[in-house]
Amino acid sequence: MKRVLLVEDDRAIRRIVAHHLVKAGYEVLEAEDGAKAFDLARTTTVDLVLLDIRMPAMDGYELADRLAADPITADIPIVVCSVVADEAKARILRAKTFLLRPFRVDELVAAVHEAVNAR
Amino acid sequence: MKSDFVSTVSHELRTPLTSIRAYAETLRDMVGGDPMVQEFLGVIESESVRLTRLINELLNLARIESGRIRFKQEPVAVSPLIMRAIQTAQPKADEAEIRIETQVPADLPALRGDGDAIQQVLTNLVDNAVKYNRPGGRVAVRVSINGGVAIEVRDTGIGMPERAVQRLGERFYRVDSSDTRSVGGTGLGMTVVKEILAAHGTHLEVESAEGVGSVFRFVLPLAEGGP
Repeated sequence: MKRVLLVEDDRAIRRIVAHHLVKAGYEVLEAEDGAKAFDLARTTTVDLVLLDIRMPAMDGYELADRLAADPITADIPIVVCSVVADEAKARILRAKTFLLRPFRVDELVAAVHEAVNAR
Repeated sequence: MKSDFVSTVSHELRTPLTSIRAYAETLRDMVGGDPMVQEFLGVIESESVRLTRLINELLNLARIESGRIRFKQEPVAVSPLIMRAIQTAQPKADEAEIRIETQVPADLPALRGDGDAIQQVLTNLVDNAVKYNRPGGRVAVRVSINGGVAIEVRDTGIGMPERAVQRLGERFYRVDSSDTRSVGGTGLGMTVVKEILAAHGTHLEVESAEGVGSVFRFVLPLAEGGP
């Protein structure tokens, strides 16, 4: 079973996105900030990071940089879903897809499928 | 409008809106066939889509007004823009059995302006012409060469009284506040149209007669031979 690391500080969104990913057959790890996400990505096997940008503690940009700099996590595909998706395009070059909020849930699940399977 | 403020607020609104939309969509799949439950959840969903459009338009408008959008000055072929505007409005037109006609000269030369912005102007005008029409009505988009490329969108709709024509384009101004519900929309479409045309050094002419219909007209310079 493929494992998705869902990085999102908004609890309501985390809950509903996790619900749909589980329904679509993924195992979901949740992190509410970048620091916790980075720990999880280094200590467990993760097939994809679903990334919010604006978060407390460590934001999505810093997390993406740290993941890229660490050989253990450098190859994990990233899908960004954020209110600043356009801005993120210029800064997280290796992300597969950028979804602007509000996205449709089926659109998000499709983007995850595609990024995981392209690996 | 303070552009930074609008931008911040727009971003802040997107996250709760994401939740509202996602939960409504999810419930629609979960609750099964009760038509009234489906209908009510459908309202939540479509209103959240409308709110999203409103946020996008507010953001867009704030950018235009702050001068942060640099409009291009490039040759633009008009016909494809008109076709796309009609395509966007077609489902709504079909629903109300409204016929959309075009009259575009076959050898129409390109105009000079910003293609994306002019697309938005045409999309908003054709959409309005369908929305404020009557069932079985008509919309005509006509283009002619007359001091530049003159574009006209005419409808056989409900029309407007003179004072409404004067106020058209004011933010959130509605000709008839009671039909906000029935026609949807954001109340910003016409403001965006006027701002874009002003940025192109031109303006929107409006003629309207209550119960007869409205005509919206503007002229943009030809790509070649213009000043």
